[in-house]
Amino acid sequence: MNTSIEIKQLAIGYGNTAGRAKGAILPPITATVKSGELLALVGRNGIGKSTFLRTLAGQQASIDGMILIQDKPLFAYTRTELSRLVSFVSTDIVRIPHLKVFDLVAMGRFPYTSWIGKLKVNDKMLVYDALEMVGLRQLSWRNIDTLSDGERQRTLIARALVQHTPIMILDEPTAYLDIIHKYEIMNLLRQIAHRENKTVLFSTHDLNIALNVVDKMWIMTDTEILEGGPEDLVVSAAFEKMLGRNNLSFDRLSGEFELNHRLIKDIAVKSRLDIRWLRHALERLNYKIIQNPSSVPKDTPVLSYESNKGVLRFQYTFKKEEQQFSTIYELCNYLRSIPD
Amino acid sequence: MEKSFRKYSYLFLGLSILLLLFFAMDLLMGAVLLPAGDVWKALTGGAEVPDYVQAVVMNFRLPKAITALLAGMALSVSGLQMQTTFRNPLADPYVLGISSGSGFGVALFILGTSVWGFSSVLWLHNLGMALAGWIGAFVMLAIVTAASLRLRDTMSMLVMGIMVGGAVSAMVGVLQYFSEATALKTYVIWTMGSFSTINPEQLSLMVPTIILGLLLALMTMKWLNALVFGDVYAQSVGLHVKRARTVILLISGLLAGTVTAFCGPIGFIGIAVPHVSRMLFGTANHRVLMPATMLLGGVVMLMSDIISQLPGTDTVLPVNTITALLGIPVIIYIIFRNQRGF
Repeated sequence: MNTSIEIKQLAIGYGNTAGRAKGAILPPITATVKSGELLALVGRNGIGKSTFLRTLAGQQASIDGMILIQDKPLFAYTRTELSRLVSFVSTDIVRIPHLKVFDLVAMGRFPYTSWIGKLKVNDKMLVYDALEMVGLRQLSWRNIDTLSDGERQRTLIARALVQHTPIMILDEPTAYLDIIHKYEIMNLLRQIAHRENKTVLFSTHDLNIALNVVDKMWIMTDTEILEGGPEDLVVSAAFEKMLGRNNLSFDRLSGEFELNHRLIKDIAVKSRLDIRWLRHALERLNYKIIQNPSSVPKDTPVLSYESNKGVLRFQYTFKKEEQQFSTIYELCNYLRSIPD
Repeated sequence: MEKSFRKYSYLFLGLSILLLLFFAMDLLMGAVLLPAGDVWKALTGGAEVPDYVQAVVMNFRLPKAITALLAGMALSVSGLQMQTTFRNPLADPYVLGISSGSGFGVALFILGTSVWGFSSVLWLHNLGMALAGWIGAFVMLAIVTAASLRLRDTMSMLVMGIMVGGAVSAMVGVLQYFSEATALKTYVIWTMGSFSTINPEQLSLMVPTIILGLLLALMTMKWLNALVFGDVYAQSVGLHVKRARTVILLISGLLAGTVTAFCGPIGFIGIAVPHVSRMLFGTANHRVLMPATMLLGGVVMLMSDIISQLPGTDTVLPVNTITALLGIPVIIYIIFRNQRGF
């Protein structure tokens, strides 16, 4: 696998644009992507992911440093050459009345058509192929404003596909989508990267989904870009650096971010069952769990949790008073009603 | 796909037929209704045509019909180009103040020549009118373009257009105050918009200019198809956005400026026709939209001209009033339907 994009000491930011602070917004960035890789760029809101992606796509000038695309500096390409190397999907919502799905996708053929923009048979076939790949062949002649958010995003991806570039850059392609469609889009991007051997680079806030699909990740923090395979980054505690100072923590086992609860009340739990979700609920209510203790301190409530022929039973005992519940929800309602 | 393309062909055929029909009607109808046979003979140079028919057709109605046809095409195409480049559904030469700018140039010329008191040779006068119209249009376009870089939203642009238009009419008002009665009359008649006051010299300047403008506009269809997606996408497919936008607006200004200089400020066609084309053809593809807008613009303006004659009577209404009555309902419909942007 050869290197597709190489970034050396890149400073991104704005020149003298009105309303923006002048100068680099981040310390110099150094990173690489290989061709055929699916790469996710993650980082908190406002850290500069979009600026970075726009700079990589040649939409915005860099302040200093070097971007090499297929071993040649980005600035050495003409705009037309670049349009055949890098395609870009922005976060802008395309809202044009009477625009047909087909016409939107066909716009990606711009770098290849003649001055009058006539689509040849081959161009049309490529448009239909791309629509087939994203699963929208049947909707080719629908108006764009009748599509759902997921379908619109897939249309934009098809547009980038027909641009026939070895590199595809997408700015938050999974924003506005529900969880199912987030998976669907990322899966599609993975297919594009692996089957078509394209370098696909996208920014996202859906970290846990990205962890499951991408080949490589760039984590943007205020001080540096951490790069590596997603698993490497988990193991090397890179995600924790993304968090900064707040009450979130990263669970390296599950790959999920979690809210840090202040565990100020003790509760003893006696159970032979898996108490993962019970723990989840109790911690939400600031309880610290002592699991199956040999002896229970006097002022600590005891919760026993068992299953009888598939029926769950929670029994709460405190100072010889007993309460029984059949769902975690009821249990929680009761716990919340106890004065501290 | 095939269904769409067949639909486009039918619509183009229909519009072409309508265009020919209205062009013919515009020749036949007027203060007097002429027999079709005589008009045909007059056009083809056949013998045995009454002199007055020959004169009316060749000196009056044919130039007027050609002017109306080209003016309709030019204003509509200019409107389409502005709507796409400014990404503003309500943009057109009239609303953005391009016509006002052009009108100010013409006012300066008509009223100014009387104020400064130099008599003008006719062809120089015509060329002067055109030049004044173009310069006015281009200056205005430059102002609007500069403003569009800062004013991102639709409404601010429109308010800006209205303000500039107001400023221009105020300045014209000052000019009028100091000008002679005859020049003032010429100017007031010009402001009403008319295709019938055009003389052969003006026609010989206007026809090639507009045809050139329309041909150049056809060459911008591909660019418009990229620009409609916004600067980011247009640039990412390799378009030189600034260059393309400048060229498109120059063509747009040439078209609107020429029509305004010779026919007066004609409103609402520039907004309405591109929208009706979009609805009729159900597309946003400029390779369809551009020729469609051209044809429909010609049809609508010929129709407006026929109506403004009040066929069979001596009364002629200003074309402005007809285009306003036809165009405004369409525009109001668009405002209500397009609450959510372009």
